[in-house]
Amino acid sequence: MDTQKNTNLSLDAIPANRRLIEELSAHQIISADAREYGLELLYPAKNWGLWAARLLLVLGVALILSGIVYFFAFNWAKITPAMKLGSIEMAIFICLAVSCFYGLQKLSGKVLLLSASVLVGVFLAVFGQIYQTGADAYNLFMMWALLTLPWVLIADFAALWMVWLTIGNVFLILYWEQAVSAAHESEMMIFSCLALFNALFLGLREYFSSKGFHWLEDQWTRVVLVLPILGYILIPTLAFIIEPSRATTSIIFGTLLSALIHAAFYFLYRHKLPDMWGLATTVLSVCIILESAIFKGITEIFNDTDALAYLLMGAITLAIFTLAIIKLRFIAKEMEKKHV
Amino acid sequence: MKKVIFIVSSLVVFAVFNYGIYQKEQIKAHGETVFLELAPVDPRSLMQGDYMQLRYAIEAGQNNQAQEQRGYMVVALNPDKVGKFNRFYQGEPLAANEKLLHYHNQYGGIRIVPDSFMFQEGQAKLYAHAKYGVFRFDNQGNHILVGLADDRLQVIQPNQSY
Repeated sequence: MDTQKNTNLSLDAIPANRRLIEELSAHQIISADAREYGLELLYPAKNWGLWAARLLLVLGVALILSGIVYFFAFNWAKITPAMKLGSIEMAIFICLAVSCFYGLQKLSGKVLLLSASVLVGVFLAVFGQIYQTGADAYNLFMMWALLTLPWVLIADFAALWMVWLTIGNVFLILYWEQAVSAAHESEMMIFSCLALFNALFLGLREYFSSKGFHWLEDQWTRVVLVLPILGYILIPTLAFIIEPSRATTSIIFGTLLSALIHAAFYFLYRHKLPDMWGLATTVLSVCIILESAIFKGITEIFNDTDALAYLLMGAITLAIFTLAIIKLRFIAKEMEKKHV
Repeated sequence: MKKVIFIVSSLVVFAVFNYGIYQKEQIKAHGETVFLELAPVDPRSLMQGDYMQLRYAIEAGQNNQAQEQRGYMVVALNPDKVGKFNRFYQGEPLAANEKLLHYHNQYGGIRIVPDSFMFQEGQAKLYAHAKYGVFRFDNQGNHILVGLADDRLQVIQPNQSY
């Protein structure tokens, strides 16, 4: 970190972190005591205790919930239907009442609301089993998503949003499979739909976190949306690359959407909301697509000489990823300069 | 404001749950018992765990006639309460021994729900010789599957001591 170069900066524009302190200490600008003091100030020792307590709370809740699920699964015939449904409803009621008592500002209140939301799904599953509603499982996920939506909206809790989005994604997939029975032309449309669905929530996340909703600022809330979007959209893109001549309308649409999404992510995480993680994922995804396209091209040219194709492909792979990493390192340096 | 949404949405959840239970219990209590013959069940599906894949004899035979994506067919009951396909429903009044059964078209054939029956792990042997699905029908075309029966129309009881 070139502190000399930036002498025109005011002190409060320089972020204090572990690296800065270690650097100052290594250049013997501050003493060992000052280093200790500074680190203690920045990273209090009791921080890990808070972290461990939260981790244990979440683990404990997860274990209790899975315990409840297994209890029902293994005592199926011995419990009367009324008792099954009644006890789940009672559990939901207790979760909600205690959550209301703690208030939704506290983590305990939020976690209890999360438990109630999961239990709604358990209730619907048990209801389906008792009355043998069978058939369309998408109904269950639709009801689950609809019933828990108001809670998700008021809780301001990223983990609950993640659970809800998972339910939503599963609903879309099952609905597509069970109710739409799409024609061959539009078969691949589901991946575009899923990408757009998640992109909508990524957009909301970026908008509201820039508007000062602090509970959305954690990095992982971006990661869990960027990854599935790029994953979903990769499928029609690869389908297009593998057989362009047999591409259906939905594959072409997905490929165009893929180009649009990659461009948007690159622009967004390079210039608007600089984020190395989002950028690196986008670049990696572009590399995969490029790789597939070049591989397809090469195997078509050298269709008898496999060995040569693979040798060439190896060299090209090295080149693509080296270039990508050089580019990313360059951007990372640039971002750091802008930040300090 | 948040508190109000919290409480109202929670009440809605309980209302939906209990209305669902009430509806199903009404059909169970007041519905008419109907037996629908099962098509031979693939024995492999018995090994899948705690449910059995169901196919109905009523699904076979009139595949070509069903034009709509989904609709109702009329099922005529014999004195033993065994239901047989009669015709596709066109809105006409029903005779006393006739019931409506919802179907949908899928993979080139008609299907009725539920297409699976769930039971506890380890009870597959009991249900392996099931011949009929036991239903309760109301008069609005709703039905629920309450159990499976053997070839003498005796409902198979789950083994409680298991």
